[in-house]
Amino acid sequence: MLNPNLFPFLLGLAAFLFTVGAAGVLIRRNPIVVFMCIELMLNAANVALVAYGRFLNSEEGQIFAFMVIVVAAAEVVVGLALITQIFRLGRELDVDDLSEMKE
Amino acid sequence: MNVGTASTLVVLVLLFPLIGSALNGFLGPVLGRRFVNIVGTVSIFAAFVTACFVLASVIGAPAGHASITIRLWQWINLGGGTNLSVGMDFTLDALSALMLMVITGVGFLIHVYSVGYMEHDPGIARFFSYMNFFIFSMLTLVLAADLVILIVGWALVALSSYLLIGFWHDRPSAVIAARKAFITQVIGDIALVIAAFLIVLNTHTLSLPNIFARTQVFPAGGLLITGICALLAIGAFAKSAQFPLHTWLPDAMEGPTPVSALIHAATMVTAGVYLIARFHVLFNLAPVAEGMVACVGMGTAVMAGIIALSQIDIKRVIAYSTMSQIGLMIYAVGIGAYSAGMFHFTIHAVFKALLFMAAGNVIHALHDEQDIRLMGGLHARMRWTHLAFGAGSLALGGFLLFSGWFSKEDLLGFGTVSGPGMFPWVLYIVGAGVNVLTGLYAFRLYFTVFQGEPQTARVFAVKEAGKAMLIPVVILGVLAVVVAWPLEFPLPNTIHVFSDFLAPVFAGPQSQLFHTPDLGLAAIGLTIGSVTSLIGIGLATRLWYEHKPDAQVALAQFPRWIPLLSYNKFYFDEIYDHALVRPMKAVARTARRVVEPDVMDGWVGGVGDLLKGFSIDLRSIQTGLIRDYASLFTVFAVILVVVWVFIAK
Repeated sequence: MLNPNLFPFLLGLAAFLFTVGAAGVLIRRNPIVVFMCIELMLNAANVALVAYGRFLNSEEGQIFAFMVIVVAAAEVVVGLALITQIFRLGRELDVDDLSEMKE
Repeated sequence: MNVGTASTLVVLVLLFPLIGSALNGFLGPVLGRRFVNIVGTVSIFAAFVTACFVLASVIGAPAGHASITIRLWQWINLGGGTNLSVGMDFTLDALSALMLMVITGVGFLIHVYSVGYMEHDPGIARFFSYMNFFIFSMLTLVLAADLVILIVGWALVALSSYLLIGFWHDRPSAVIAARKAFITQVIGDIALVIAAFLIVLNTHTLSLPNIFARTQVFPAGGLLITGICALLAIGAFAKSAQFPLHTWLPDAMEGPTPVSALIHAATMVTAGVYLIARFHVLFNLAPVAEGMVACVGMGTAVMAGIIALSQIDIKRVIAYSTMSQIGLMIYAVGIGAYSAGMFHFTIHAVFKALLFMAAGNVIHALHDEQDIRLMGGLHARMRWTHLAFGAGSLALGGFLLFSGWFSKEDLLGFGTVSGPGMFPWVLYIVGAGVNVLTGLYAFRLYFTVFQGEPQTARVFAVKEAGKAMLIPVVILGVLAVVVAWPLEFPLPNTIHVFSDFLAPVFAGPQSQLFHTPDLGLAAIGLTIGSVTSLIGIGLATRLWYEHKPDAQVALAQFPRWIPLLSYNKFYFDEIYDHALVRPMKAVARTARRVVEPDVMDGWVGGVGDLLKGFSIDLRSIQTGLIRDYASLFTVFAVILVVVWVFIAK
């Protein structure tokens, strides 16, 4: 049995990771880094889910974490495909530069 | 008659024309003329057979049980504390059975006639669809035992009339005439609806039998009941083309002739008479309103009779004679002689439909010529039509022993004793004048069209109408002579089959204006009526037979304003044009010039500009930078969490 006192630290870790990820998404301009930051946010959520599952003595947290991993993997596939296509078009890899959909 | 039989009969008689209308309307254009002709006529014949069963069961019912009201289903329940409900309620009694017989019987003959008359018209499916729908609407109106259903039927006949007057919608005059008829009728509809509201407010029920059973809530002769009856009468005047809402009827002759025969002579225009007869229980409580109805009826009868004397369009002459005869019926129901009014309605439906259809034969044979000055001498070339038209004219003129004589003298006979003081005698003398006028205009038309020398070469090429158009005319021609013989004789203690049949409907308290004349008065009335009719017919013979030149000279002796007023229809169209139509148009123009651009566009455009400005401001947050969107998203997500965790809990 895990020490219940650890629980706040785990949640704190998850919050920290999530904040780092969110800040990265907002600040960075390279799409690959933005993706990595999104992965960071998703995994922060995973940490929280697993921690809750552990402390509430339930498997659902872990099952849900697996779901998130699968979704994250699918998202990475789509995202990397997009990035590859943008690269092939000879465009600079900069999310601020990709604003044709504005108008 | 039990409820089941009654329900079956009501459903059948209403469904046959409705199905006919739907089949013709939806399938007619695809399946062709033969199909349309068969469906159009057979559906009305089936309704006629059903109506015969209704009549038989009303006659066969034991005394006191001849009236039955059935509820097919409840339509609307208004619930709450009102306790009001609108039911699909229908009444079968002597009055509705009579109306059913006339509408479907005469209607069937006119439908058969239409097959011939509309032979070359490409819109035949639409025509029969409308005609069948009219029959359905009219049957709904006369069967209704619920105020709402009655008003629905009342409005539906106006709609069918509108559709059929404007049937030839590529003629601007027909479209304008249709519009005029509809608008005038709507004025009457409004009066009727207000009357209905007043009735419901006071009796707390929509069912007609219940309304008639609760008349004690109205103080007899009071302002309320007088107002209600006056409003009902205005509704009736609009529908029945009575002064001052009469101007639509002559224009309605723009429709095909079978339409004029069916709607604007035999059935719809007499709905006003039916309405007053149906609400006689209320009218009996309001002698002032009854007096007004009688005076308006008689006034219209005189006015229309004078106008009919100088019109030159064959259908308009008959239209004005219809207006005049309905004036007499309205007069009859006004003085409380309900069965006399309904009797004249029945006989009039026969001979007026006949006159219209015979006139239709003439118009058809002359290739749509309606000017009687260009006819003349048709008797040798259209023998059957001529005979039928002659029989119809004699009936209309009230010649001895023709059907019109029975009904008109019967009707005028009651006038001798109705009402206080000089009232009955003044109206009776006017009625005798109408009798003279009727003979005059009926035979002016007959002589000008059928006798004398042909006025144009076209007349020589005329051929008699085909079988489909001739047979209904001949049947009605025979009926116009004999139909009244077994039904009624205008003297007390003689034949009164018709009024005995209707007696249960009009039993109960009688109108204060109504007294049955004794034998002496009735005989005097009958003599005056017969003599005045003969005077009218005789004068017409003297004036117009063979177009005698000295007669024309005699006519010229009249003061000039009389023929002028007559020919110009008392200038009613011009008066309405200047008093109503033009001011309305001026108001509309002003509204278009001032109110529309400044006021309406002002605030409509203002709202638009406001929204536009707001969205221009809002657009500035759409930067195209993912970072901005993500920031907003994050900020609001945080706000949401904060709200949820710290406030909502």
